[in-house]
Amino acid sequence: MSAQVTKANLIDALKQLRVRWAVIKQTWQDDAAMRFEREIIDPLEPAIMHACKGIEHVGELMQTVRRECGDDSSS
Amino acid sequence: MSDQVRIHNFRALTDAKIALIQFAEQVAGALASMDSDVSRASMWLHQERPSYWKHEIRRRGEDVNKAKTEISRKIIAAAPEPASLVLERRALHRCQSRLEEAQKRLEKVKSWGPRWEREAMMYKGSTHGLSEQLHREIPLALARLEKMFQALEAYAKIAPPGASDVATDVATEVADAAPPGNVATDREP
Repeated sequence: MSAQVTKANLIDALKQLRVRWAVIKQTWQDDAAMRFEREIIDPLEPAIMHACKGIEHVGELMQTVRRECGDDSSS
Repeated sequence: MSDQVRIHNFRALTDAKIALIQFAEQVAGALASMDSDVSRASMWLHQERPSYWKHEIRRRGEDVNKAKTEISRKIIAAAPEPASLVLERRALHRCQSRLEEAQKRLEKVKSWGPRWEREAMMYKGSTHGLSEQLHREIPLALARLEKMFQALEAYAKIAPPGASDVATDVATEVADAAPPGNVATDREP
Protein backbone atom coordinates (compact mmCIF):
# COMPACT_ATOMS: atom_id res chain seq x y z
CA MET A 1 0.00 0.00 0.00
CA SER A 2 1.41 3.39 -0.89
CA ALA A 3 1.74 6.28 1.53
CA GLN A 4 -0.98 8.12 -0.36
CA VAL A 5 -3.41 5.23 0.08
CA THR A 6 -2.55 4.90 3.77
CA LYS A 7 -3.10 8.62 4.28
CA ALA A 8 -6.41 8.49 2.41
CA ASN A 9 -7.53 5.53 4.55
CA LEU A 10 -6.72 7.36 7.78
CA ILE A 11 -8.57 10.49 6.71
CA ASP A 12 -11.50 8.40 5.51
CA ALA A 13 -11.64 6.60 8.88
CA LEU A 14 -11.72 9.94 10.67
CA LYS A 15 -14.42 11.34 8.37
CA GLN A 16 -16.57 8.27 8.84
CA LEU A 17 -16.19 8.48 12.61
CA ARG A 18 -17.12 12.19 12.58
CA VAL A 19 -20.22 11.51 10.48
CA ARG A 20 -21.32 8.65 12.72
CA TRP A 21 -20.63 10.66 15.85
CA ALA A 22 -22.78 13.50 14.50
CA VAL A 23 -25.65 11.03 14.12
CA ILE A 24 -25.05 9.56 17.58
CA LYS A 25 -25.08 13.03 19.11
CA GLN A 26 -28.62 13.56 17.90
CA THR A 27 -29.82 10.99 20.42
CA TRP A 28 -27.10 11.21 23.06
CA GLN A 29 -26.89 14.77 24.27
CA ASP A 30 -26.00 14.70 27.96
CA ASP A 31 -22.82 15.74 29.77
CA ALA A 32 -21.36 12.28 29.32
CA ALA A 33 -21.67 12.62 25.55
CA MET A 34 -20.00 16.03 25.54
CA ARG A 35 -17.24 14.73 27.75
CA PHE A 36 -16.83 11.65 25.59
CA GLU A 37 -16.48 13.84 22.52
CA ARG A 38 -13.98 16.14 24.20
CA GLU A 39 -11.83 13.37 25.65
CA ILE A 40 -12.09 10.62 23.05
CA ILE A 41 -13.33 11.83 19.68
CA ASP A 42 -11.67 15.24 19.43
CA PRO A 43 -8.06 14.14 20.18
CA LEU A 44 -8.21 11.66 17.31
CA GLU A 45 -8.09 14.36 14.66
CA PRO A 46 -4.71 15.91 15.61
CA ALA A 47 -3.30 12.41 16.06
CA ILE A 48 -4.45 11.43 12.57
CA MET A 49 -3.16 14.66 11.03
CA HIS A 50 0.24 14.30 12.69
CA ALA A 51 0.49 10.71 11.49
CA CYS A 52 -0.50 11.78 7.96
CA LYS A 53 2.33 14.31 7.85
CA GLY A 54 4.83 11.64 8.89
CA ILE A 55 3.41 9.16 6.38
CA GLU A 56 3.55 11.70 3.57
CA HIS A 57 7.15 12.58 4.38
CA VAL A 58 8.36 8.98 4.62
CA GLY A 59 6.41 8.14 1.44
CA GLU A 60 8.23 10.86 -0.50
CA LEU A 61 11.57 9.65 0.85
CA MET A 62 10.71 6.09 -0.10
CA GLN A 63 10.23 7.18 -3.70
CA THR A 64 13.54 9.06 -3.69
CA VAL A 65 15.37 6.06 -2.23
CA ARG A 66 13.86 3.74 -4.83
CA ARG A 67 14.83 6.13 -7.61
CA GLU A 68 18.38 6.64 -6.38
CA CYS A 69 19.17 3.13 -5.24
CA GLY A 70 17.01 1.08 -7.60
CA ASP A 71 18.02 -0.66 -10.78
CA ASP A 72 19.34 1.88 -13.32
CA SER A 73 17.85 -0.02 -16.26
CA SER A 74 14.37 0.74 -14.92
CA SER A 75 15.08 4.40 -14.18
CA MET B 1 -42.33 8.77 25.26
CA SER B 2 -39.75 8.74 28.02
CA ASP B 3 -38.92 5.10 27.35
CA GLN B 4 -37.99 6.11 23.81
CA VAL B 5 -35.30 8.41 25.15
CA ARG B 6 -33.77 5.59 27.11
CA ILE B 7 -33.86 3.28 24.13
CA HIS B 8 -32.15 5.95 22.05
CA ASN B 9 -29.41 6.17 24.63
CA PHE B 10 -28.88 2.44 24.57
CA ARG B 11 -28.61 2.59 20.83
CA ALA B 12 -26.32 5.63 20.91
CA LEU B 13 -23.92 3.84 23.24
CA THR B 14 -23.89 0.75 21.01
CA ASP B 15 -23.43 2.87 17.89
CA ALA B 16 -20.58 4.79 19.50
CA LYS B 17 -18.92 1.52 20.40
CA ILE B 18 -19.27 0.14 16.87
CA ALA B 19 -18.05 3.40 15.33
CA LEU B 20 -14.97 3.42 17.53
CA ILE B 21 -14.21 -0.25 16.87
CA GLN B 22 -14.50 0.20 13.11
CA PHE B 23 -12.41 3.37 13.23
CA ALA B 24 -9.72 1.55 15.22
CA GLU B 25 -9.73 -1.39 12.80
CA GLN B 26 -9.40 0.80 9.74
CA VAL B 27 -6.65 2.91 11.29
CA ALA B 28 -4.78 -0.11 12.64
CA GLY B 29 -4.88 -1.75 9.20
CA ALA B 30 -3.59 1.37 7.47
CA LEU B 31 -0.79 1.88 10.02
CA ALA B 32 0.24 -1.79 9.90
CA SER B 33 0.48 -1.62 6.14
CA MET B 34 2.60 1.53 6.25
CA ASP B 35 4.82 0.10 9.00
CA SER B 36 5.35 -2.94 6.82
CA ASP B 37 6.29 -0.75 3.82
CA VAL B 38 8.82 1.15 5.93
CA SER B 39 10.30 -2.12 7.27
CA ARG B 40 10.50 -3.57 3.77
CA ALA B 41 12.28 -0.43 2.56
CA SER B 42 14.80 -0.85 5.41
CA MET B 43 15.46 -4.46 4.47
CA TRP B 44 15.78 -3.54 0.80
CA LEU B 45 18.22 -0.75 1.56
CA HIS B 46 20.33 -2.63 4.12
CA GLN B 47 20.36 -6.14 2.67
CA GLU B 48 19.13 -6.45 -0.90
CA ARG B 49 20.58 -3.30 -2.45
CA PRO B 50 24.21 -3.54 -1.22
CA SER B 51 24.60 -7.10 -2.47
CA TYR B 52 22.82 -6.26 -5.73
CA TRP B 53 25.09 -3.32 -6.54
CA LYS B 54 28.26 -5.13 -5.43
CA HIS B 55 27.33 -7.94 -7.77
CA GLU B 56 26.60 -5.42 -10.55
CA ILE B 57 29.96 -3.70 -10.01
CA ARG B 58 31.74 -7.05 -10.39
CA ARG B 59 29.72 -7.96 -13.47
CA ARG B 60 30.09 -4.55 -15.11
CA GLY B 61 33.81 -4.52 -14.26
CA GLU B 62 34.13 -7.78 -16.15
CA ASP B 63 32.30 -6.20 -19.10
CA VAL B 64 34.83 -3.34 -19.09
CA ASN B 65 37.70 -5.83 -19.14
CA LYS B 66 36.08 -7.75 -21.97
CA ALA B 67 35.64 -4.55 -23.98
CA LYS B 68 39.29 -3.63 -23.41
CA THR B 69 40.38 -7.12 -24.41
CA GLU B 70 38.33 -6.84 -27.59
CA ILE B 71 40.10 -3.58 -28.50
CA SER B 72 43.51 -5.17 -27.89
CA ARG B 73 42.54 -8.24 -29.91
CA LYS B 74 41.41 -6.06 -32.83
CA ILE B 75 44.63 -3.99 -32.73
CA ILE B 76 46.74 -7.16 -32.82
CA ALA B 77 44.61 -8.73 -35.55
CA ALA B 78 44.88 -5.64 -37.77
CA ALA B 79 48.62 -5.06 -37.17
CA PRO B 80 50.62 -3.61 -38.77
CA GLU B 81 47.63 -1.73 -40.23
CA PRO B 82 45.71 0.58 -37.87
CA ALA B 83 42.46 -1.03 -36.74
CA SER B 84 39.07 0.63 -36.91
CA LEU B 85 38.00 0.76 -33.28
CA VAL B 86 35.00 3.09 -33.37
CA LEU B 87 32.44 0.49 -32.36
CA GLU B 88 34.72 -1.14 -29.79
CA ARG B 89 35.59 2.17 -28.14
CA ARG B 90 31.90 3.06 -28.04
CA ALA B 91 31.17 -0.30 -26.40
CA LEU B 92 33.99 0.27 -23.89
CA HIS B 93 32.67 3.72 -23.07
CA ARG B 94 29.17 2.29 -22.53
CA CYS B 95 30.55 -0.43 -20.22
CA GLN B 96 32.56 2.13 -18.25
CA SER B 97 29.50 4.36 -17.85
CA ARG B 98 27.47 1.45 -16.58
CA LEU B 99 30.23 0.53 -14.12
CA GLU B 100 30.44 4.11 -12.86
CA GLU B 101 26.66 4.23 -12.47
CA ALA B 102 26.73 1.04 -10.36
CA GLN B 103 29.52 2.49 -8.21
CA LYS B 104 27.55 5.70 -7.69
CA ARG B 105 24.44 3.75 -6.76
CA LEU B 106 26.31 1.65 -4.22
CA GLU B 107 27.58 4.89 -2.66
CA LYS B 108 24.00 6.19 -2.60
CA VAL B 109 22.84 2.99 -0.89
CA LYS B 110 25.56 3.39 1.73
CA SER B 111 24.75 7.03 2.35
CA TRP B 112 20.99 6.37 2.55
CA GLY B 113 21.35 3.58 5.14
CA PRO B 114 21.78 5.65 8.31
CA ARG B 115 19.59 8.46 7.01
CA TRP B 116 16.77 6.04 6.31
CA GLU B 117 16.99 4.65 9.84
CA ARG B 118 16.66 8.17 11.25
CA GLU B 119 13.70 8.89 8.98
CA ALA B 120 12.05 5.57 9.89
CA MET B 121 12.39 6.50 13.56
CA MET B 122 10.84 9.90 12.86
CA TYR B 123 8.00 8.19 11.03
CA LYS B 124 7.38 5.96 14.06
CA GLY B 125 7.40 9.07 16.21
CA SER B 126 4.78 10.72 14.01
CA THR B 127 2.42 7.77 14.35
CA HIS B 128 3.11 7.16 18.04
CA GLY B 129 0.28 9.42 19.22
CA LEU B 130 -2.19 7.65 16.98
CA SER B 131 -0.93 4.24 18.10
CA GLU B 132 -1.42 5.34 21.69
CA GLN B 133 -4.99 6.28 20.87
CA LEU B 134 -5.55 2.89 19.26
CA HIS B 135 -3.94 0.73 21.91
CA ARG B 136 -4.74 2.66 25.08
CA GLU B 137 -7.33 5.40 24.76
CA ILE B 138 -9.82 3.63 22.52
CA PRO B 139 -9.89 0.41 24.59
CA LEU B 140 -10.45 2.57 27.69
CA ALA B 141 -13.19 4.47 25.87
CA LEU B 142 -14.83 1.19 24.88
CA ALA B 143 -14.70 0.02 28.48
CA ARG B 144 -16.25 3.32 29.54
CA LEU B 145 -19.08 2.91 27.03
CA GLU B 146 -19.61 -0.64 28.21
CA LYS B 147 -19.93 0.55 31.81
CA MET B 148 -22.46 3.19 30.80
CA PHE B 149 -24.34 0.55 28.86
CA GLN B 150 -24.37 -1.85 31.80
CA ALA B 151 -25.51 0.92 34.16
CA LEU B 152 -28.37 1.83 31.84
CA GLU B 153 -29.25 -1.82 31.41
CA ALA B 154 -29.29 -2.39 35.16
CA TYR B 155 -31.41 0.68 35.64
CA ALA B 156 -33.82 -0.31 32.87
CA LYS B 157 -34.53 -3.55 34.76
CA ILE B 158 -35.53 -1.79 37.96
CA ALA B 159 -36.81 1.58 36.78
CA PRO B 160 -40.51 2.29 36.82
CA PRO B 161 -42.04 3.30 33.49
CA GLY B 162 -41.37 6.96 32.63
CA ALA B 163 -38.04 7.25 34.43
CA SER B 164 -35.87 7.78 31.36
CA ASP B 165 -34.34 11.08 32.44
CA VAL B 166 -32.86 9.34 35.42
CA ALA B 167 -31.55 6.67 33.10
CA THR B 168 -29.59 9.28 31.22
CA ASP B 169 -28.22 10.54 34.52
CA VAL B 170 -27.10 7.04 35.39
CA ALA B 171 -24.94 6.94 32.30
CA THR B 172 -23.50 10.33 33.11
CA GLU B 173 -22.69 9.29 36.63
CA VAL B 174 -20.87 6.21 35.39
CA ALA B 175 -18.74 8.40 33.16
CA ASP B 176 -18.02 10.74 36.07
CA ALA B 177 -17.22 7.99 38.53
CA ALA B 178 -14.46 6.52 36.43
CA PRO B 179 -12.03 4.19 38.21
CA PRO B 180 -8.35 5.09 38.72
CA GLY B 181 -6.46 4.93 35.44
CA ASN B 182 -9.56 5.64 33.42
CA VAL B 183 -9.31 8.30 30.75
CA ALA B 184 -11.92 10.44 32.44
CA THR B 185 -10.04 10.50 35.75
CA ASP B 186 -6.62 10.96 34.17
CA ARG B 187 -7.67 13.98 32.21
CA GLU B 188 -9.55 15.82 34.87
CA PRO B 189 -7.99 19.24 35.43
